[in-house]
Amino acid sequence: MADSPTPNRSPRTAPGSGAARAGHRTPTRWRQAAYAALFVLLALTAVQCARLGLAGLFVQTAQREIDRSTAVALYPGMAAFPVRMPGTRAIRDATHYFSNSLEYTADNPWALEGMGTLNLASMRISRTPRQALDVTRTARLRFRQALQQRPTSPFLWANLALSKLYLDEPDEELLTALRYADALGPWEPSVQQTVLFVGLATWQSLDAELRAALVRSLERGALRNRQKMFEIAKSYRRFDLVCAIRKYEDIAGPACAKAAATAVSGEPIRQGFRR
Amino acid sequence: MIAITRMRKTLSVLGACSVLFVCATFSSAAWAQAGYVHEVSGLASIQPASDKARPAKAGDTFEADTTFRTGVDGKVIVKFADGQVITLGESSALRVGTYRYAANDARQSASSLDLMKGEMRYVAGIIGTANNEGVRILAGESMVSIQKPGGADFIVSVHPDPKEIGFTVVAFGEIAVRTPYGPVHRVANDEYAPWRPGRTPPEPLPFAAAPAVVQAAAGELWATVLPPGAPVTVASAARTIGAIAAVTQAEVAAKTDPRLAGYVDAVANTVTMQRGSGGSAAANVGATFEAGTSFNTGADGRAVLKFTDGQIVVLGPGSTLTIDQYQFDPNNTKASKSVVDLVNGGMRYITGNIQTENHEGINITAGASIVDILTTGPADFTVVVNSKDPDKQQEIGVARVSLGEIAVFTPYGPISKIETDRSNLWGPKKSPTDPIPVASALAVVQAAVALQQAELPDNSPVAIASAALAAAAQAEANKAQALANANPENAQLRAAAQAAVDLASATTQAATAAAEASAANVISAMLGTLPPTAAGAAVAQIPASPVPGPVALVVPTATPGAGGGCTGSRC
Repeated sequence: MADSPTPNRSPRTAPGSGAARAGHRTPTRWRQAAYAALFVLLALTAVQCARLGLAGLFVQTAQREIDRSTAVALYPGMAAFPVRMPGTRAIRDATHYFSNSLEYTADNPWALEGMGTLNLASMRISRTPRQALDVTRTARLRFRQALQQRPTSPFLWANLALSKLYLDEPDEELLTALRYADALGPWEPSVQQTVLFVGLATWQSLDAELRAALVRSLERGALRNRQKMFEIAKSYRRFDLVCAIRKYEDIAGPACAKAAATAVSGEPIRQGFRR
Repeated sequence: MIAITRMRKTLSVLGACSVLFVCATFSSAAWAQAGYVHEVSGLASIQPASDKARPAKAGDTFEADTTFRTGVDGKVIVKFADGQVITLGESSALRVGTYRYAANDARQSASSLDLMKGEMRYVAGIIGTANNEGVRILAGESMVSIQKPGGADFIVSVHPDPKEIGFTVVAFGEIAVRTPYGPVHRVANDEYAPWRPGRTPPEPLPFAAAPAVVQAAAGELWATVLPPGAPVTVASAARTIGAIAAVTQAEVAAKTDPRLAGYVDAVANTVTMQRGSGGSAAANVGATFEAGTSFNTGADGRAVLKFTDGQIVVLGPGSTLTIDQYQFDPNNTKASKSVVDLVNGGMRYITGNIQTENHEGINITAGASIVDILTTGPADFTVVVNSKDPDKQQEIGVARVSLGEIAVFTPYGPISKIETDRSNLWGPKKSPTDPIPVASALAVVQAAVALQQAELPDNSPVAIASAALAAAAQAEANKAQALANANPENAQLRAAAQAAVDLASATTQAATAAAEASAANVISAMLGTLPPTAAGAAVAQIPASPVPGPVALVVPTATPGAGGGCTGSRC
């Protein structure tokens, strides 16, 4: 008890104080300070973990809301492109959860990506061009912000390319986004689909290398993702690409045969076989 | 015998003539009526070949060579005898050229349409289904043709100025488009094909890959509920639709009018409005608003707001105004009230019916100051406050009265009375002898003076829906005239401007009639509540004009271009 230094008592005022005792006391204080610092550090880490955990929880809850929605054709004749379209309530709830997540971590890339995706969904149900333009611009901004945190996410690059397509901006940023998406997520089915969808829409702007990358993506997609990849190519009437890949033969065979037959008849474009 | 034979011959000839006459009458009627207007929303006009443009309303029939026009937020759905349905989008113009429909022989039928500008959705009827070559559709300088029998459902949009930009989206069928920049050979189901100057039109893309603005514009037209595509007898279908529309309109008017506080009569440059907790949107001329709406003008913006009771607020540049409460019942003016809050900037305020009937119902704040109208009669004053600091401790303001008397309770003390043609300035002073900062004072005074220089509508009560429509029509007419004046050699623009002016005139007349009808209702209601007296019939006791007439405001003529070029009705 006598050996233990009293925190309020300084070594100079302590009776019988000596160098040995002072030397003994200092490490103890250091230890206490270190414990305190460690405690504070742990507390901060715990708070941060809790914040991140809560932010992640909100993102997951929002994602569940979106996943509950069903794929629908938004317009007459749009059956080829059923969109997983959250209802107004689902959008509102998911937006609420994503916003909560962003309150805990302002630059949470998952929340930003989710918000951006919801913005694109809102674009599809916008009824005024101005509103559609605004939400698409917001989506692009959120994908850009999220990419600053997760520059290796192929999904973000693919979504950025998609938002730029909707903004009618076939510029270098879009092409870069396509390149990164393809390079970072070559085996991700949704990335393959988005890259193919955007790439075919901007085909005239692509260089030879990117066109070749797109064809390779179409080939890879034949393994796990065949039907959807074929539907996308078909919607662009790009039978020339899909019919050249043997793996698509069983599903694209009849369409390819028809397209080839009409190509011989001398009306390649009218009947859908684009050179 | 000869006489009998002659009589028989005469009767035969007369009989034949009668049959021919009846046939001719019926067939000409059948040829004459091409279709009818199925639905109208917003501002839309119909103009027969040899007549003036008039507001289009559901149930109107039309013949070949008729032009339809829509304003901002306008939409019109027309149905033809063969079942063909056209939905004309906002800011569009469509001319129905030739139209022949022979129910028993589609090959003798033909339909030609000319979309001069804007967008339309086309759904084929019998002619487009059975005789697709009989359909001729011009869109600007482009030509759309239906490629296969079986019909088509597509949207086409063109903006001709300065060079044509357009697109088409097909929901059903196949079409081809010959554009000024090259042909698009085939646009099929669910495809989108754009064209623009300086490049060959690309091959069609899936609609899902179309730009956001195109998806939204097309989506709006796809979402429109159309009438069934079966052939109709135009006259009877038009009568039915007209009757339904009249009932619906009456119901809508009865339901919406009490909620509406007023409408935007004129705007210049950037002006936005925010309804309740909703998002902010551009304030267009003719837009209606309710209590809880806020208006923001940009650095060069200006807006004229007119309320149901006739009260007018002119907002100057860089101003924010909130309509906190508004309630006007012409049958019970004592229960009416108006609470407006000028958060910052300048406004000119002209009293309406609430002020004259229920003085206590008016509540006006400007920054941290409160304005009290001292006179019970009409008043016209301008107040400008610069209170951008959060505490509003440094507010500088000025009030100028053109008519009536007001008091202002400023953060620095009350100004007990400002009389007609007088102004008062207030601002922070450390001591009574300190001058108000000259530059700031000069700015607010200049803003107040600028607000005085505007031509305004009169301050009589209005029927909101029709008055808003008239204001929108007038704004469209002003725009069309400006465009026509800038291109004097363009006959099409001149014709469009004339049509817009005719429409504006017709809608203004309709608005006046609606306001008079509303006033007549008030008189009837008042008569019903008055007890019979010995002095004579109740009607004799009612003043000739129980609704206060327009206040005689002495305002200078609007300087052309002053305030950044109003697009409103009277700027």
